Amino acid sequence: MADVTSGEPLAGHRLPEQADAQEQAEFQRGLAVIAALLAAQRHQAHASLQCHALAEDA
Amino acid sequence: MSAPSIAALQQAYRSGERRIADEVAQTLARIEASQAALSAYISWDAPAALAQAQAQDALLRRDPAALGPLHGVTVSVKDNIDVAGMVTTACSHSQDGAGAARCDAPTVARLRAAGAIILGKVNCHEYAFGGPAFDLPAPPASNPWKPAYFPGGSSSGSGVSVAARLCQASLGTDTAGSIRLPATHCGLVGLKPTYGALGLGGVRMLSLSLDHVGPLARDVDDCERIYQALCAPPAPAAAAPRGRAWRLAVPQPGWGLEDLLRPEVAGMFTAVQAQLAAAGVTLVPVALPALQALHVASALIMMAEVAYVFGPAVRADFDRYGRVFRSRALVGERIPAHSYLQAGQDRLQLTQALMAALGDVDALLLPGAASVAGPLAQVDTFYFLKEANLNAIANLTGQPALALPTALSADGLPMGIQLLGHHHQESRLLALGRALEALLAFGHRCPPSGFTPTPASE
Repeated sequence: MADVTSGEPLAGHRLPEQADAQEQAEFQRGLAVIAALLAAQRHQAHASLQCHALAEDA
Repeated sequence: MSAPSIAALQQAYRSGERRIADEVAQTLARIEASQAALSAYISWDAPAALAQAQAQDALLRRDPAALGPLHGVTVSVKDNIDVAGMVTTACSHSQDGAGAARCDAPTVARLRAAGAIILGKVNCHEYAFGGPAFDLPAPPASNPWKPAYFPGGSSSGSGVSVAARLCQASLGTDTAGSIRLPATHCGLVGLKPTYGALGLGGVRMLSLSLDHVGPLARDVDDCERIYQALCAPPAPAAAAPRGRAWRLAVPQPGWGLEDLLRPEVAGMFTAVQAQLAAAGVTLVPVALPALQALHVASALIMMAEVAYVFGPAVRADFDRYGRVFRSRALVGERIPAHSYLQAGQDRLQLTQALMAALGDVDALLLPGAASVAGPLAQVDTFYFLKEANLNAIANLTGQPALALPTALSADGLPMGIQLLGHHHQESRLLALGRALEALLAFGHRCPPSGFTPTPASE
C-alpha cells in the first residue's frame, strides 16, 4: 500500500488567525495527507487509463 | 456477567415478574453512578422516563396483550439526533445556548411508537467527527471494559451506554464506521443498514452521501428488534439458507490485511475463520477491489463533503469548535471539485466490482477494527486518513454491515468482526449474524464494572 503521509503540502491554505502555531502546523500536516490522497487518486486514474488502452489494443 | 435480552425482559414484564418502572429506576441509578467514570450521557430525563415506565406498567396490568414490540425497552440516542424536548448538542460548543428540539427525528419517533423509553442523549465526537477530544462540552466517553480506554467512535456514548447496561440499546450514526467501531470496542452488535434504508431526518448532517443511522445492542436478536421498529414497514424476517451452509467471502492474501491488522487482531481473525470453517461455514477467498483505491475514494468524498457542510460555519465561528474538529472540517476545502467527482465515479466502479466479487456469498467477512482499543488520549488529528479504514468500505458502497463481538484481548478488551452484506438484505445479514453469534459464543458478557451490580437471570 502506498504511504499517504508523504504528500507535498498544499500551499497557501491556513486556519483562521486564532489558531496557534501548533494547530497551524497540525493543519499543514493534514493538508499533506490530502495532497497524498489526491496524488494517489491521480496515480490510480493513470493506471486505469493504461489498463483501458491495453484492453482496447487487445 | 450476563444482561437480559429484550425478549427476556418483556416476558418478565408480561408475567408480572418484573415492573418496567423498577427496571428504569435501576437503569437511571446506574447512569448517575457511572457518569463520572464513563461520561456516557450528555443529558437524560429521569422524570419523563419514569412516568412513561409507570404508564406502561399500568397499561400492561389492564391488558397484557397490549405489549408493543419495544414496550419497556430503554434506548439512548446519540446526541447528533433530535429528541423532542432535549437539546441536540452534537457535543459541540457551537450549540451552546441552543434550544430543545421541537420534535423527534423520525427514527426516534418510530422507536417511541413501538413502545421504547427514550432515556436521554449520549456522548459522541463533535458532530460525529472531531474526537476523542478534551475541549468539548463533555469529556470523552470511557470504555467500560477498561476505564480510560477508547470505546470507539464517533457513537462513543452509544457503545458505552449499552455495554455498561445504562440502556438496553442505542441509536447511533455511522459515516465511516461510527456504529461498528464502538460496537467492536465495547463487545456489542452494531448494524449500519443499507444507505437510504433509514431516513436521516433530524440527524445533524456530516457527509451527505456517507451518513447512516442504525442500532447498537447487546446481541443480534435485540439489534434486529430495534431495526425492525426503525423500518416502516418492518423488513421481512429471513431464515437460515436452506439446503446449504452459510458462505462467506474473505479477502485473498495480498489484499492488504497483512499490513493493516495489529498482531492480536490478526490472530483473532485467523482463529475466527478456523472456528467458522470447522463449524461448516464455507469460506470463499475473493479478489476484492484494491484496498488503497477504496480508501482514497472514501477519504476524499468524506473530507470534501464535511468541508462543504461545515467549512463556512467553522471559519465564521472558529473558536466555538474543538481543535480536532475544526482542522478536520477545513482541510477538505482543498479537494478540487474534479477530484471529488472523480472519487464519486470511482465509487460506482469500486462498488460494482466489490459486489461482483461477492457474487452469491452471503457476506464479506472482515475484522471489526484493525487494532484493539487503546488508551484515551489526545489523538493524531488525521490518523484516520493515513491508513485504510475497513469500516469505511460499507459506507462507500452503501451495503449493510453488521459488527459482531468475537473474543477478548489479553488486556480484556473486546475484539470483533464485521459482515458486509448485499444491498437491502438486512434480514439475511441479521440471520447470518445470529448463526455466527451462536457459533462464536461471545454471548451476553458484560464488562466487569461496578455499574452492573445485579447479574440478571434470563
